[in-house]
Amino acid sequence: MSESPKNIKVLVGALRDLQGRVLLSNERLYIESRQVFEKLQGLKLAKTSDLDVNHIDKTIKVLEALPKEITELDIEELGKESKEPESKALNEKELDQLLDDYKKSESENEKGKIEEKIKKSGNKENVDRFIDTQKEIAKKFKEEAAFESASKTRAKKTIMELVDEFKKAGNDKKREIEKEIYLITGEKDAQKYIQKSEAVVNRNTKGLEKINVDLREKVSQDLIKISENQPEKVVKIVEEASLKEEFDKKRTEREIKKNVKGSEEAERIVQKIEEIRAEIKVEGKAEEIAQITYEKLKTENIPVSERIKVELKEEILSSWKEGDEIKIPDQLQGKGGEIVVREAAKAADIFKENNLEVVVNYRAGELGKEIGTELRRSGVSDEKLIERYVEVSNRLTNNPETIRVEAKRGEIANFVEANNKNVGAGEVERSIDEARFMAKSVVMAPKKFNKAIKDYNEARDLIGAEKLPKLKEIRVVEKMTSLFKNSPGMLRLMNGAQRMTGIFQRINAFPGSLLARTGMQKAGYKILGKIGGQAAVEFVKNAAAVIAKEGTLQGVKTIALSLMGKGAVVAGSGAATGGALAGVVAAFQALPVVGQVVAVVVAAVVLLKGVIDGVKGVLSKITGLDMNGVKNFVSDTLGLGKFVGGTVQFAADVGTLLVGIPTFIGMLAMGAIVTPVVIFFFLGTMAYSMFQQNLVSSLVPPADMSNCVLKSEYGGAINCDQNAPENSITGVDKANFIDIANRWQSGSNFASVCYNDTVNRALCAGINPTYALWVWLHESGASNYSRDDIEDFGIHDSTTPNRNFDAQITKFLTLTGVGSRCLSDPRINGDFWLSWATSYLNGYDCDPDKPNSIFPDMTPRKYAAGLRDQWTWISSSPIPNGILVAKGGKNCGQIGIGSTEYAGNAHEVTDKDGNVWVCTENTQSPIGDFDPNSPGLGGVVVDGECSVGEVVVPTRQCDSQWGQIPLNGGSCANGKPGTICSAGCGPTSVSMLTRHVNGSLTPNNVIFSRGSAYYNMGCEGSSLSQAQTELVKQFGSEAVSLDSVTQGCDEKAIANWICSGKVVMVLANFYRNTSLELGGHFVMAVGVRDGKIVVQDPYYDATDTPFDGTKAYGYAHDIRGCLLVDKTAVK
Amino acid sequence: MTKKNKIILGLTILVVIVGVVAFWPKEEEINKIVDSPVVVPDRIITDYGSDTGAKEISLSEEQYSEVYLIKDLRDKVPINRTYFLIDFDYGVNKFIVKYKDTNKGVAEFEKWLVDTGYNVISKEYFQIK
Repeated sequence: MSESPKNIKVLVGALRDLQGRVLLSNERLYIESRQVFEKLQGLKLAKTSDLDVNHIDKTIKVLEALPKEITELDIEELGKESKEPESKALNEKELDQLLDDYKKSESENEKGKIEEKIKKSGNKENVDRFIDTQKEIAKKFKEEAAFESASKTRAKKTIMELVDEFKKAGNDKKREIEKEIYLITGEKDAQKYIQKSEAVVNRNTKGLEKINVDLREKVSQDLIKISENQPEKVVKIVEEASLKEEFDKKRTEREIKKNVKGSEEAERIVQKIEEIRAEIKVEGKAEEIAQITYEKLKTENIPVSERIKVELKEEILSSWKEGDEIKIPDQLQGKGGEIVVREAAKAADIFKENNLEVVVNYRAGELGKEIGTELRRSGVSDEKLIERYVEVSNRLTNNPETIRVEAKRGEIANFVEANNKNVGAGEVERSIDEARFMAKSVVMAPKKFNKAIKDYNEARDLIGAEKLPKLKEIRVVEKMTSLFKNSPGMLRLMNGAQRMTGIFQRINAFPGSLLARTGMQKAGYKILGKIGGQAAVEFVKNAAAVIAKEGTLQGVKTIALSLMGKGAVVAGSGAATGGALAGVVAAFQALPVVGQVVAVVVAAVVLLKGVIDGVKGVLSKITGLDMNGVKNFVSDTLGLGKFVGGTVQFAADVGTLLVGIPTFIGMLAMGAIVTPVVIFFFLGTMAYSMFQQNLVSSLVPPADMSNCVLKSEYGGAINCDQNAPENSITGVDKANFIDIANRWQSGSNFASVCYNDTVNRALCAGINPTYALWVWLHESGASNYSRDDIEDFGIHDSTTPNRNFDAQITKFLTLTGVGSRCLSDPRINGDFWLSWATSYLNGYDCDPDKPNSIFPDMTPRKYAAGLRDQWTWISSSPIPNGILVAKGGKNCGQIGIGSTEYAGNAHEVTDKDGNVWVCTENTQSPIGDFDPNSPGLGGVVVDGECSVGEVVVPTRQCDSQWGQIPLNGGSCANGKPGTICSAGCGPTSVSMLTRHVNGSLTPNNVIFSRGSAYYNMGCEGSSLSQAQTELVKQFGSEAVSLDSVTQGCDEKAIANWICSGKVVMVLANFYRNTSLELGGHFVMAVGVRDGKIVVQDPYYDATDTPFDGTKAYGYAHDIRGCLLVDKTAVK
Repeated sequence: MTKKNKIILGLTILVVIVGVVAFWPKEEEINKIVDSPVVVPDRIITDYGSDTGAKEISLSEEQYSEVYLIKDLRDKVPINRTYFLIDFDYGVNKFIVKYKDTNKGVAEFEKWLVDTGYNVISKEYFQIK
């Protein structure tokens, strides 16, 4: 953004331009947005907390809901009228009384009399105060009016208002409103929608009357959506079931099944009914709590306005949706209303605890609507597909079957932070979301979970990744489903954990459900709450801490292995040691003896299913009876129902088990009380030891294949001809090209492997090979497959797959006329490369300034300028005026797909099921040849004003000796482990100093030495505090400035420190690619030359003076922190 | 010199003497000078992720305030007050405080720290000379 937004409308546009990036990626816009929200808070039109830096769409919604007169007002003018009136302290009781009367007076006549009385008093001070009071009243009125106006504007966004507006609007406006209606409802024909809406209201007048007016609209809207294309009978059932107080889920489902095709459709409709019922109940309850709280506040004489009710309701709903605490509205801060609001929070908590399933259904409904609107906005018009995506997203996030007692977000965050001191706020939030996802997933049956992952991925692929809603819930689902999709080994681990959790659930739930079934519901509920609830809370807290510490991939792996090994997850102890299991056992011991026995026997039956089946088989052979048919015989043949049948089958299984273990035969003769106790001890001990020792074969974790991915999913192979003949090109140096490709972006590229093939194929096709190399570099970083959506040569059509060198280059080389198509267009002005850029970037559009639909920041003009700039990077020859050259090349008749080549040390492994995996193994030893007696190496003196470079040994993180060594901690987003090359700038910088003392203290030896602060680092990299720890260990605390003063550093300070004999380790944001995106990076500042700071950089080599303000790849944008080491100590 | 000039000269000398006496710093004046406190702005976290392995600095609110104030003060030094002088020494990486008069210097320095808000900075960053 070149200048500050003039008004909120312009600001919204600027925020939209961020295209899903977080607001903090544009510092200036963030500051401006914050100022606007501060002003809006002053006007009571929004809260500063409405500025959600991570979810710009929410922020935009708030701004869009503001009245037009506010959004179009100059930002500078905002809030100017809201200055507090000057208050003057007056003591006269009389005046107080008069003013009070004035405020309360209802008629103008009455007001006039009081006014006259005050003026007659002749006291100027009194008259002033009177005027102030008038101002106050006017201001209050204005605020209320503004608030109401804002509410109304918000309400305009509701369907009813839109419908009303639509009826009155002219044709142009109609189309606009129709679009808005469509985004919310999915109905393209507004007139049709109005008819449907009226029909719903007419049919359900009585039912709708019972609910709040605001809610009626939402419910009618839901009813229209749910009844879409359904037979009349179903519509009737749906409407009745949604609005009546009584609801028999099973009966409703049965009735719907009779009238629709397929049970899945019936289940879907019932789920929607439950969501509507939840909406009515939840919003109604929030309204009720808000109303009671408002009345209490008034009783307590706390000055509040009517709008506090709306704010409170929104807070309550938000706390239920987010699983967090209620925040005290600003209006009540410091006014003594906190206690009353806390009471409201308690009431909200109690409601949520007792209605968890309802709350989850409410969340599902709300998320569904948000997803629907977002997808329509992104151009997805297939309503069936939207429904499908909503359904599967909710199956994974808001599934009533997987919900357990929830810990509050704040409580989890505190726990995570306590266990991970160096974790940032964003990471904590992310870990909580991911842990909650894990908690829901781990209680799913493996088959259901795997199906949900598959269904989700199918639906999202049909929609297209770029169109997916930018919602927090979707971000989490996207990340986690992609993790399991890309790593089948991880999915297996997860399934093992799910099986183990399933066993615990049965143990936990059976006594409770048995008691519930026998009429002791309360006791049953308590027991379930005690065991399952606490375990769930502990699970989420510990899982979040593990994920925050180890990253998503490694964290999930640890959690799954912990569950399989010990049945618990405990943060900070690696493998778990008790935790939830200990809690379960403790709660178990508190159960009555009967409960214990039943629980243990259930466990035994589950665990020893094999033994039971075997014995059943033998008995069946002997008796000729079907031992598995007991249930059906009792329930169906004898007609005693499924519960009785199931119970008898269970008893028969237990009996079979006891028959199968002769030891028990003698025990059966014991007394009725003694027998179960003996069984309890025997089986209990056995089951527990099986869990502890992991003896149950089906639960033993599979071999660690976490570094392997299925060949079909692997992105590290390329289908170029690695044996293609070499051709020399005038002005192009192969080594230079490979070097530029390596610096283009992090990850692995195929520059060296496929260079010859690219050049040779281009020459054979008569295409300028330098041009082919440039396109290859620019479009994919020379096939850098670290990203999923890479198109090797930028070919973006349905017939040419991405991540496919052969297909992409084949198509690319056919585009011989691409540069001349727009050449005659007057806007191109005869510029060949501009003509080429319009066609190559935007297809059949010759407008040189038209933004690209995928990358709106890019226009053909910019694209052509980039080409000209970067041409010089790879070629010393001038850029030609065309892409065609004389055909050349070698063995052109044999061009084709060469053998598959893997990047790095990846190789294929075939498992026993015949699946081909690609595994990455570490061929480099983490601990290299460390020699305590190795001599130190010399540094490089900086020729300038000051130097400490003599003690800093130039060291590169991607050095072939250690660059590819994988790190112990969390893996990268693509599922591959981080390496020193991809994440080791911190320890490599440290190594620059340690190598001056001992040449063998290379980055890998710094990282993997015993007790190293870097030992557990992963793809996420390392921090300054880790560097401090290692440097202090090496050079002593006197030499290393541990104080935080070093973190407030700037160029001037760095230069001064260097000239005072200190090496400065600098953390700065660098331009990490040619698109000038930023990324954190460590360098060592070693000298001052011509007033500029000179560095030793472990990664970039664009310059040795990166802080000179140049805006280019490899240069620094801003400094974030410094760490000082006294040069004299580095010896 | 005319009589008139003599009177003007005499009056000028008198005014100078009165001025010097009136404005000569007195012990109790230390408490009359009030420095405005430095406002610590809200934090703006600019962590853009990393391609090379640098994690965000994690500072508590207190640490952030201290860091900000140290940098702020470092940018303002040297400061020369009536009874003390403060500068920053990059060699020892500390603020150096010199008292012109020990007792009065301590009093003025302590008051100045409180008035400006620099008392948030830990004492170890100040070296008294």
